[in-house]
Amino acid sequence: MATTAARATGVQGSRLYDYLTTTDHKKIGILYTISSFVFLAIGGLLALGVRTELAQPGLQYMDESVYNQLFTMHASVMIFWVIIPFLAGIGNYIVPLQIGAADMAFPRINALSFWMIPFSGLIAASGFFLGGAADAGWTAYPPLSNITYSPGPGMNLWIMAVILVGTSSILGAVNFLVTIFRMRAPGMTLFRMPIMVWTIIVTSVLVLMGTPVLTSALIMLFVDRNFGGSFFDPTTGGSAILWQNIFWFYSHPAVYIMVLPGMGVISEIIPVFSRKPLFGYKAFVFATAGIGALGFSVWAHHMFTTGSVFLPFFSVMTFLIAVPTGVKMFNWIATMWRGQISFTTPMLFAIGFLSMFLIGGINGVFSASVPVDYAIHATYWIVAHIHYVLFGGSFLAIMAGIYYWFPKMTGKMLDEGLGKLHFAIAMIGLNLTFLPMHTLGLMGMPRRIADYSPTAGWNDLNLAATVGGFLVGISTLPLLWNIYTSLRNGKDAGPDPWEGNTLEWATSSPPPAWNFDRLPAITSERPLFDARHGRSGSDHA
Amino acid sequence: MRTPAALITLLAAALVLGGCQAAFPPAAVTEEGLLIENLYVFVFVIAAVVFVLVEGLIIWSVIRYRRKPTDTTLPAQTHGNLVLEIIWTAIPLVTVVGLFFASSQVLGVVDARKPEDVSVKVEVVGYQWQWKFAYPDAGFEIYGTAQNYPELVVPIDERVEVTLVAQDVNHGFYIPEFLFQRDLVPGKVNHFEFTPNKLGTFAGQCSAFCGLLHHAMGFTVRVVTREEYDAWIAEMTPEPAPSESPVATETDLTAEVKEWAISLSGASTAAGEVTFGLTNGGKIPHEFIVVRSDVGGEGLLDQIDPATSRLDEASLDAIGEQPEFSPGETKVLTLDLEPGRYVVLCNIAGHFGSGMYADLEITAN
Repeated sequence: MATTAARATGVQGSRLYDYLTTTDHKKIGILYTISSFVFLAIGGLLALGVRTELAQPGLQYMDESVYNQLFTMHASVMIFWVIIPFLAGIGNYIVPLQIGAADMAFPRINALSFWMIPFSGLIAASGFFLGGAADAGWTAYPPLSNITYSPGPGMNLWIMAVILVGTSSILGAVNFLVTIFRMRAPGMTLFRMPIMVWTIIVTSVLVLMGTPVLTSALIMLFVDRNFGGSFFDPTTGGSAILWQNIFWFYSHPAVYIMVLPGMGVISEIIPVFSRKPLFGYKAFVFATAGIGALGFSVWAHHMFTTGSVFLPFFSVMTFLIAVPTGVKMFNWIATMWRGQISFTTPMLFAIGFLSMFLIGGINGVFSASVPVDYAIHATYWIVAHIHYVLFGGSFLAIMAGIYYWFPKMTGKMLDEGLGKLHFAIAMIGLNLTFLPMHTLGLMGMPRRIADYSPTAGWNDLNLAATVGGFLVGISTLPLLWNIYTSLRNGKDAGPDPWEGNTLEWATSSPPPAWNFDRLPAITSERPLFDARHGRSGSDHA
Repeated sequence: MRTPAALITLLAAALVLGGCQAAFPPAAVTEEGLLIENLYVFVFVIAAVVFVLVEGLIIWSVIRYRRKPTDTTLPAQTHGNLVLEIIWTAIPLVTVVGLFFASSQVLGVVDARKPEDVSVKVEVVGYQWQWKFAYPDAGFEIYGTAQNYPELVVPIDERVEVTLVAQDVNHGFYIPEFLFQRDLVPGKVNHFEFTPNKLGTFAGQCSAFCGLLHHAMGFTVRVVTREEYDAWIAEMTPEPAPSESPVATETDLTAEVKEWAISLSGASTAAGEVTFGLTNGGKIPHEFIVVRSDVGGEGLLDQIDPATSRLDEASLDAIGEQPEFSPGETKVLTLDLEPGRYVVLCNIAGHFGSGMYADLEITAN
C-alpha cells in the first residue's frame, strides 16, 4: 500500500520536485552548492586540458583554437559559475541562520537568482557544441573580441551568459542587504553580527556598484558585435582602452567579491577551533569595509603596460590595499595565539588559507610596483598570483566552509580521515602547480600561449605544474567519496558538533523549514558561547 | 625578538636569497632593466622577510597552541588589543609607502622620454600574428613570419626609441631580459626608450593575447657594436629604385594578394609559359605558390596541419613560387604550366586557411 500512496502523491511529492520548486533559502543554498560542484568538475577538466597540452613543448593533443577555448572557458567557469555561486550558496544557507531569520527577505527572487546560474552556465558551455566556445580570454579585450576577429557564436553566447550571471548576482545582493538590515533577530545589533555576515554586506555592496557597470560594458560589446556599434572599435571612433577600464572597474572588485566572503568563512572557523573570540572584531569590520572601498580605486593596475594609465594614483592605491589585508592576517594569527587549537578538517583548510593567501597577497604587492609590473605583467607570474588568491584563498576557504557547515546542512558528520587526505593532496598539488609558475613568469613565459619553444628552458617547470594540476584533480576524489559515504553512514551531527559560537548551531541539523523553534539571548557576537559558558566567559577588552 | 629567532629569520632569508635563483628575473641587458632588476630584488627582500615572519607566526601558533588533553578550561578570552592593532596597521602602511616611493623613482627613469639623446629610432608594428620592424631613417622594413622570427638590431650603449603600433588587435612587446614590456593598442601609438648595455641576442615575444597564433609571435633583439650596426644598416638599406618600372613585362594573368584573398584576373589561361604579374595589396607580407591539385582550393582546406596552420609543402605538387614579398611590392613569376587544375595560394601560417587561395584552370592549346 505504501507504494500506491507514493504514486498517489506523484511527481509533486518527490524530492526532486521539491528542490526544483523550493524557495527555502537552505535548499537553495544546497542547490547553489551542487551546481557549483558540477561546474567545478567542468572547469577543472578544462584546466587539466590546458595543463596536459603545456606538459611538454609542441602541440600534442589539440590545436590553438581548442586551446584558446579551454583557457578562456576555464577562467570564466571558475569565476562566474564556481567561486561566486559557491560563496553565494554558503551565504544563502548560513546568513539567515546566523542572524536568526526564518528565510531570506525575497524567497522567490532568491530562487530566480539561483536558477539563472546553471541556465547561464549551459548557455556559455553550449558554444563547445555550436561551432566553438568563447576564445578571446575571459577578459574579452576588443578588438580581439569584435566580430571581425572572433566571428564564431561562442563570444555572443558568453556575453549573454555573463549578463545573466551578473543579473543573478545583483538580485542576490539586494536580497542579502534587505535580509541583513531588516530581518535580524532581537538583540542582533550590527556589531554583534558574525563577521561572515559583515563580509556578505560588503560583498553585496561591491556587487551592486560593480556588476551593473560590467553588464553595460557587455551590452555595448554585444551591440558592437551584432548591430554595428563602435564603442570599442578604434577603426570607427571607438576606444579599445575604454573596455579595459570598464571591464576592470568590475573585475578587480570581483576579486574581493570572491575573497571577502572567504575571509568571512575563515573568521567563523578559526575562533571556534581556537576556543577564543575573534581578535579585533571591529578592526575586522573596518578592514573589510576598507578593502571594499579601496577595491574600487585600483582597477587600472591591470593596465599599467598600456601606456594609458595615471600610474602614481593606481600604484599607491594598490599598495595601500595590502594594509587592511595585513591587519586581518595579524588578527587571525592573534586569534590562534594562546588558544587551544584542534585540527579538524575545516580548521586545517582555514590554516591552509592563511598560509596560501599570504603568498597570494605578497606576490600581488610586486605588481603594485609599476616598474616590476613591466617585468612580470601578462606572464605566468600573474597566473601564479591569481591562483594563490583564488585557489589558495577563496577556494580553500570554500572547502573549509563545506567541511564546517556540512553537518549543519545534512545532519551528518564528514569523515575526518578522508577530509585530511583531501587537504594533504590538495596542498601538495596546489603548490606543485603554482609555485613553479613564478619562475616561469620571471623567465619570460607569457600567459595564454598554446605552445613554447623546447629550448626556452621551461620544460621541467611546466611538467611539474602539470603533475601538480592532476594532483589537485585527484584530491577532489576523497571529498566526493566522503560526501557520498557520509550521507549514507555518517555519524549524526546533532545541533552543535563543533561547539560553535553563532546562531546556526542553536537549531537542529538540518534546521526545520522555519529555522528556529527558539532563539538564545543575543548579547554579544557569540550567543552560543555565552549560553554554554555564561556571559562572564567573554570579558570585553 | 630574541636573538636565536632573529638569527633563524636572517638565515632563512639568506638561504632564500642566495640559494634560490628561481626567485629572480634574468640579468638585465639594458640600463633601465638593471634599475628594475635592483628594484625587484629590493621588493623581494622585503617580501621574503614578511613571508618568513608571518608564515613563521602561523606555524608557531599552530604548533605551540595546539589543544592538549590537559586543556580542560577555556583559554583567556582576549577580544583585542588596541595598541597592538595600531602597531600592525602602521608597520604595513610604512612599508608599502616606502615601496611606493622606491618604485616611483625607478619609474621616472624607466618611462623617461629624452628625444635629444635618442640616436636610433625604430617602429614596431604588431599584427596577427607577427611583427614588422621599420627603420624609418634608413628606409627599410623587416617582416617576420612564424617560421622566421624577425630581428631588431640596435647598437650598444646608445639610446633607442621604440614606437609601437597595433594594426589589428592588442599585442604586447615583451623582452624578458629587458625586464620590460609595453602593449600595442589599436588606435593609439605607444613609445618607450631603452639603452642596451650588453652585446648578444635576446628573445622576445608577444605578451598580450591576440588570438589563434599568439604563441608564434616571437622575435629577437640583437645588440651589436656601432661598427656592426652601421654595416648592417648599409646591407639592409635598399638600392635606389631603377628608373624603369620592372612591371613592364607582359603578363598573362595578374594577381593581387592581400588579407585574406587572392584575386586572379582570370580563372583560366592556355598551357605553356604563363607569366603572373603579382601585387601585394595588403598590409603584411605574402607569398604566392602555384600548386597542381585536382581537388581545388576548397578541397585543400581539409589538409591544413592544425599544428602549424599551414599546408605541408612536402605533400603538395608545387610547380613554382614567389617567396614572401612586402606590402606594395610587385613581382613577376613565369612558370611552364601543363594543362590541368591548379590552385594559387599563400602558405604563411594561417593565411591559406583564412581564404588566401584561388583556383586556376590551364587549358590545352
